[in-house]
Amino acid sequence: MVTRRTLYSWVMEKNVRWQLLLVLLVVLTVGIRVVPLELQKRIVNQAIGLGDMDLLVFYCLLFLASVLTASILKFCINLLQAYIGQRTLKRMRTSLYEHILSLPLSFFRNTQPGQVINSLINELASISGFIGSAVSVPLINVCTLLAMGGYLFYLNPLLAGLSFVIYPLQIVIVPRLQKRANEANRHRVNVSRAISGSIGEVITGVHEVHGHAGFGLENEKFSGQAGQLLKANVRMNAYRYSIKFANNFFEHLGPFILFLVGGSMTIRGLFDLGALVAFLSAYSSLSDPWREMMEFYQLKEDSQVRYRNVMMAFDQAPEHRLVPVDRDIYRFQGEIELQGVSFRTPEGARLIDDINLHVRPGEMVALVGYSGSGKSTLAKVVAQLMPYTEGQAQLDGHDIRGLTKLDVAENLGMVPQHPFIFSGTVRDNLLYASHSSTMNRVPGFTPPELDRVIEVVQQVGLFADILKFGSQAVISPAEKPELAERVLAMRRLFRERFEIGFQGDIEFFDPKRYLNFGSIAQNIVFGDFAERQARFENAFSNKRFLAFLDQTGLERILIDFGAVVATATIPILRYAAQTQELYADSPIAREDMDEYAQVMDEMATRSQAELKAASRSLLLRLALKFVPGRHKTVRMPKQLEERILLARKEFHEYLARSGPSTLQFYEADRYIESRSIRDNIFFGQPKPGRGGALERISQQLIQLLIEEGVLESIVELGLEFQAGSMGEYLSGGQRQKIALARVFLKQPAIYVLDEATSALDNVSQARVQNFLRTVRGRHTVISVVHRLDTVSHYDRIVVMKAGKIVESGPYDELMAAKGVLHDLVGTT
Amino acid sequence: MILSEQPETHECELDCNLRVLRDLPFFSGQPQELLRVMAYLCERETYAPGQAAFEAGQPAEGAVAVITGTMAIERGGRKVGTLSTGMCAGGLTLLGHYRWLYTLRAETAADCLLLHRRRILPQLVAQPASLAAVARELAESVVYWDLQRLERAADGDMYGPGLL
Repeated sequence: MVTRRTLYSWVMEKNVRWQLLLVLLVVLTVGIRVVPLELQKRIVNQAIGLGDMDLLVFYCLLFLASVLTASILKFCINLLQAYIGQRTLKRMRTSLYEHILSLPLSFFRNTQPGQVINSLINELASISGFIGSAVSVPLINVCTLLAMGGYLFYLNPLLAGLSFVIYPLQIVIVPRLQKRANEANRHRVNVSRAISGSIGEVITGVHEVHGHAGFGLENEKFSGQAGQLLKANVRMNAYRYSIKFANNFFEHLGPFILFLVGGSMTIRGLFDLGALVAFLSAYSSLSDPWREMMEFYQLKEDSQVRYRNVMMAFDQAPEHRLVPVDRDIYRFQGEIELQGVSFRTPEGARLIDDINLHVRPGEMVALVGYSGSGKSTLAKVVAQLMPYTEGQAQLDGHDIRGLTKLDVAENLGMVPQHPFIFSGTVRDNLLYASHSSTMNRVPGFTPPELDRVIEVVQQVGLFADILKFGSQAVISPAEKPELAERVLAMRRLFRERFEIGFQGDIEFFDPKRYLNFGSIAQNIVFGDFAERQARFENAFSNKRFLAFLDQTGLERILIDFGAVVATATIPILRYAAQTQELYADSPIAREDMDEYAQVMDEMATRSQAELKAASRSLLLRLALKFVPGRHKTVRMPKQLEERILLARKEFHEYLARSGPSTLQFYEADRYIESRSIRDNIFFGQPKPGRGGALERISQQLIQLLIEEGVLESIVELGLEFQAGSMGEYLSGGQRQKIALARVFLKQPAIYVLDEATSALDNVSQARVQNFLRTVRGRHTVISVVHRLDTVSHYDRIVVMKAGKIVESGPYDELMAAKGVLHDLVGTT
Repeated sequence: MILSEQPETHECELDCNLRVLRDLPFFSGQPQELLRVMAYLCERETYAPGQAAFEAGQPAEGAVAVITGTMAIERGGRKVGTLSTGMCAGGLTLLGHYRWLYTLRAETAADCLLLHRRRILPQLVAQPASLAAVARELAESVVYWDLQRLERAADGDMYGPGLL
């Protein structure tokens, strides 16, 4: 197991040839470094002494070449050390990550993601420096020390002996200090891990922090932990600098002894002055390797502390093998047998108790009961996500505990109530299990075709969502000219058929009509930037646009209107609790509040004509951003609307006169590059606040897409929709539908659904239930159900109470018996 | 100047929302400033006849107040009540999580005000006195419902004790 390996075991593994190359380079470097010394002697004695100019130039060039070669070799050594360190770090991280993923789920319930991230990324990072130098540094420095030491003894054994007296002293003192530094470092690592965990926890649950305005609470907690980290860092650095101090001190103690003893010997005539100078010079060359050895020692100790701490944090054995060894993956019929199965928490609470249940292959079983009755625990035990503590649970006669993860993954599909969505596209998420099966080389597995994906997506009611994603995609007509052409054709058809019918649901673009769901700036421009990346807000600082507003007198009118909007909006925003929701439909962004508050204060003492230029600019910006259909604090004056419509015409003429522009006006026969496919078909935008409007429009839109033969293209675009981090761009229902489709695409023998349709609307829920009916007899279904109006068609209802099964049988029988199920149905 | 030339005779959406909220028993005793914040945070939704505002079993995420029109309260596909102008459904959703016990469907074209819990509750939580006033109003409603229940029980329509 990776967590039991020693740090040194990584040094040579798969690195032997690189480490040997490193040693070779080091030896070469040492050799090359001798050359300048020899050349110095020859330059003085031969070239200068003999007055030979040619020889001087020759030796100087050789000197330069040797220095350059030594420098290049040193560069190669550093590069190689870094490479060895980083490639080993990669292997270390990969092995540890693989191990972490295989740990039991209970481990993750007790571990914050931030702790894992900190360990894998930060704590292990500094170890790479040690790995890279683990062989070369001690080897070369010990060799150098021995050689130099021998040379000193050769010069003068007494002085050499005296100067070496300090080293044993250093060897005794420094490790003691290092031991304390290690302890301090261990403590720092633990504090650092705890703080990383806390940050991870707060970020994961940031919606709760916002919801309960817990900013102060969390800041206080963080401040406390940051204080602890500060103390731990200061303590550790104090020990580190103590070691540095000791090393420096001892390094300079050597010359002190040499001067004192050597000097007195020289005065007394026991040692000549030249020999003393030579000795001092040789002694000074000892200090570099010795210092490097000391630094290496510190690095080694520090790395070992970090390494041990990291490995100990994950030193648990996986509960199950990941893949079968010496056999193929099991293929189950879907039989489930539980005999006396219980699950006890470490504290002794029994979440399920003495469960006896036999589910035939292809049977559909609903698990129902009050909250906390053990339904989800039972489902998790069957899905191998919780290890049962007593009794025996089998899938097709095989003990669940003995199955590998791959056996379970290929035969059982579990959909939890709150499924996880990975960042990436909808397609990536739908095909997650398929990609996994392909990677695991599951025999006989073929990835599903697009038709199959579409079929399943329809079965779970996700098709309309995919179409919505696809139709909201922004495409470039240059890249997809055929699709853009079809979209324009659909625009004409859509207008012909639905312009009157959808008048209330869609705000159609009409040069003569004011857009209530567009900003004032959009209404003046009546177009968008052609570049997709360009933000419309750029218009607010566009010189030509501002010059136009100035020339037409609109600037003054809009500043006036901006002041009205600010006066009506800012007091509300100031009074309210500061939440994200407060600014969701606000013309003033949260980060701009301080600036606007200052403008308000200024407006209280000055007339609008006397306001600072920056304040006038802010008010103008506010007016330009104002959307009458969205910003409810002020009603748009009719006369201002009329003035803007007039300005729209004037602006087009002005822009045509004043040179080329990247603005693209809304024209009925031209594709709008910055807008979605849907908006291009509508040649308008849906009005918010129209209950069920999008569904009504979508039905007609789908019909049009089919007629024009672009349905598949739109589905493809929809499948490429980015779900966002943890599916943030998806609704709860969409997340559940993707999770259901992901499992249905896998077609395992057993489906375990843990309130898997709780967030779905009634229509989608009915679709899923219909799908489950179609697989009855071919796939076993165990479904934890909260809504009892959906269970009547199950083969069997298993009713749980306080961790035990209290009733089991067909729906009609149980209802006729007027037992617990009858009571449950009566109370919901 | 255009703005000064035009007298503001029409009320803005915020003022209209404020008027509706002021008439709701839950919010009747709230300070004007807080009511303005809540009016600012409400959303308008228009339902065509037959369109459901929400359906039984769906997670209840906010209250619905009818501004104009009539909504039918349906349970098991059967109409069991009506919500008309000035009435509100789901006041308890502002305080807790549950699933709708009935479907609310527009009988006529209906203009409604949606009070989302995620928007309104943090504002109430930030003002404990206001939250307490809402809780008091809710408690009175529950007492009233219980009384009605007990009175119906006396007529033999139901069994069991009241909630209180």
